[in-house]
Amino acid sequence: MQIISNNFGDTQVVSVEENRIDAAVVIAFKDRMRALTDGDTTHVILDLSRVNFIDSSGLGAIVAAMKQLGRGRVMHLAGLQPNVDKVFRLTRMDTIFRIHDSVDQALAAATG
Amino acid sequence: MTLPDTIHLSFTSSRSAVRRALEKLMQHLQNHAVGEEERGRIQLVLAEALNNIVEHGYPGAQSGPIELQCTLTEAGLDLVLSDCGARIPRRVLLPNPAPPPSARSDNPPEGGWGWFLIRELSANHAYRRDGDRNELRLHIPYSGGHIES
Repeated sequence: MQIISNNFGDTQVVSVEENRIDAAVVIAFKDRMRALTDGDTTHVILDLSRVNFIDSSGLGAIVAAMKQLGRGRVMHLAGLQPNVDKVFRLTRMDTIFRIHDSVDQALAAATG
Repeated sequence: MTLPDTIHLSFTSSRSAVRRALEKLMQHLQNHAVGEEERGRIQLVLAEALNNIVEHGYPGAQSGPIELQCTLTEAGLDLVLSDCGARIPRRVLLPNPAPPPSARSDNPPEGGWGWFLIRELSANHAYRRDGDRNELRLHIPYSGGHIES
């Protein structure tokens, strides 16, 4: 699973370079996220701009990735495409993440 | 386009086979000018129903056949999913199902949305156990405006 990470001071941007987070890749996604977010940046921005499909197992894996950050660290989501955004809204899970239109907006919010 | 139009897919249960089947079906729907929003809804309902078969119908190391029949009509999509796995539990088929897990921020859920999403995005479902076979029928109506010309 291709996921890349860049740090900007106290903020880490983690970009999913694939177009699906579904049952076929959830284990790989969780493992990769655990390894990548092992640091101590306060903010982690998960860039989903290339992802055009998630199912409920993908949603669960994103929640698990957020929980792994632990206390005092914040997960932001950025660049949700309409199909992805819909899954968050239907399940009301949009209420537990900070969601931004783009990575730039998320960076401004995290560092501002 | 001549309607109705039916596509059949059959495969052995696995998460990657589900992905391939969904991708094939989405391409078919796109070729038939079904709009992006509709395709997204259809893909989500089907992913949840097929993942249920892979995870609960054929649990653990088990696997078995899954058949999917998809008929495109003027009103929407008629789906028939069949498999030879475990029976679908009665509790998820009740007319008044449990609500989706609560989105509490102190300990958010990591699953349990599958049947909620299926019900939310499809118009009706009918389940039949025939011998050692499950048959689940789902209808997904177009929300309006649907078939792109």
